[in-house]
Amino acid sequence: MTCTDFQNKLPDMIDGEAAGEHAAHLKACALCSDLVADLRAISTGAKVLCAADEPSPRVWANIQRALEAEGLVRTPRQAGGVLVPPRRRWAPAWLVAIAALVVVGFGLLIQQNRSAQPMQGAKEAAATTRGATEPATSADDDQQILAQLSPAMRTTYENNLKDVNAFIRDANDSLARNPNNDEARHFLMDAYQQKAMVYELAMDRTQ
Amino acid sequence: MVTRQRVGKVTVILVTCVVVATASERKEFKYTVGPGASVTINNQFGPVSVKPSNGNQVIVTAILQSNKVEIDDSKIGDRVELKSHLLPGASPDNARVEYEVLVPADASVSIHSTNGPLRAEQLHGDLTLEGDTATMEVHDVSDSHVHVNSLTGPVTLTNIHNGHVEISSVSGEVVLNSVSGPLVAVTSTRGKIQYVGDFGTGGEYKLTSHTGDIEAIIPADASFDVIAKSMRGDVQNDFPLQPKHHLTFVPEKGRSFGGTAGKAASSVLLRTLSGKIRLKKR
Repeated sequence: MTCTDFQNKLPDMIDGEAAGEHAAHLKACALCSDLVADLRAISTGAKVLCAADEPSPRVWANIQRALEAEGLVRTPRQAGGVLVPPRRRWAPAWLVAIAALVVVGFGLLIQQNRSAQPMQGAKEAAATTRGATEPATSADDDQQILAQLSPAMRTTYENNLKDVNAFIRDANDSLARNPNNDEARHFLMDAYQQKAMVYELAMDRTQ
Repeated sequence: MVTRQRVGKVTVILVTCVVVATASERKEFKYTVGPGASVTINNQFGPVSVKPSNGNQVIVTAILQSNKVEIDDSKIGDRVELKSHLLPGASPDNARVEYEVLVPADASVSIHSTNGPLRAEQLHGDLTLEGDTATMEVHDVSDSHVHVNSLTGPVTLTNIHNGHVEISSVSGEVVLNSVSGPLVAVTSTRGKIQYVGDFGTGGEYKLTSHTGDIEAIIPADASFDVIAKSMRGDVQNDFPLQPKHHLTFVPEKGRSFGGTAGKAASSVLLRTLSGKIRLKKR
């Protein structure tokens, strides 16, 4: 029996004892003997790991979704998912062991992802907020400034803020239409400087 | 009879109280300062006028409209600061203070008032004027930085020589008469900008507006090169300009023009988003 012949039958004998010519080859071949010893060790370790950190179905689903999203796997045609393939007849323990190691590795990845998710989510939310509510923020700032002014001054500042905000909008639109136009860029800068000036004056009045 | 006397007394007391409460009060402050002193007047309501004094004294005369306002003053080194301090019950009418300020001509002066007017004249130290609706006038000033910030108040500068002038106004009109220097920059959102003068002999002039019109009235012997652009408004040139050898833009009829006059000593940039620009010969 050659080593190749022996290793073709290897999955069937991991959890059991070799017999006949397989047993003879195992005794005679140091290479195959070491391989079987290693696989049995992995199998035993995997069983322990699986018992200690059995991932929930949600983890499996997340892993599957992540892999699908990355394009690394395709959606399986049958239930069970790619990471939980349908049991094959021979279902070797050493494959389970390897799968277990993979699962643990992915579990760690998932855990890391989960811990990173709130931060990432917060960043995305903040970015979304900034993008969606930039004018609202500006309007809030305006209202905050105006609220600190006396009623007698408020109208003057309100009108002037409307004017400079219109300037900013107009300059922004011009720049959007002509992104390479230096004039438009200068107008925008001037507009913001005007607004800064109005804020500065208003803040002086509230001291 | 007794009742009538009591009513009379009470009336007299009340009238006296009202008179005292509304009577204006005049105060004078004097400080001796060194060369290049700094003087700041913060007046919430009312005018501030600054003129040169003889010698090294800062003399401030303040007329307080009522007892609803008082003046906080301080002098630290050569820095003098006076501020109208509003008291409970103050309003734009009863908290008005009229300041007349004499400063050494080389003093750096900063004056602020919401409704002004603000005036400064015959000085050659740096000047800062800030106001909301205040009319602002600066004239006969030389070798100065002149900075003006205004919301709606009109700004007029006259006879400013060798000035570093920066004016920012939201909706007030800005008029410059014989204003020249290394830098003259005016930005206005809605107000009109008018320049009457010759653009000096080697400065940079930038007049910018959003919707306000820009008008420059120039003598025939002026020496400058000019670029005028309105992104959406009209431009009009009545001044005999020579074409520039090298323009950094392609003039668009009715929207922009460029050219030189005389030896092109000064650089002039007139630009507006949607206002009109007009260059006229005086």
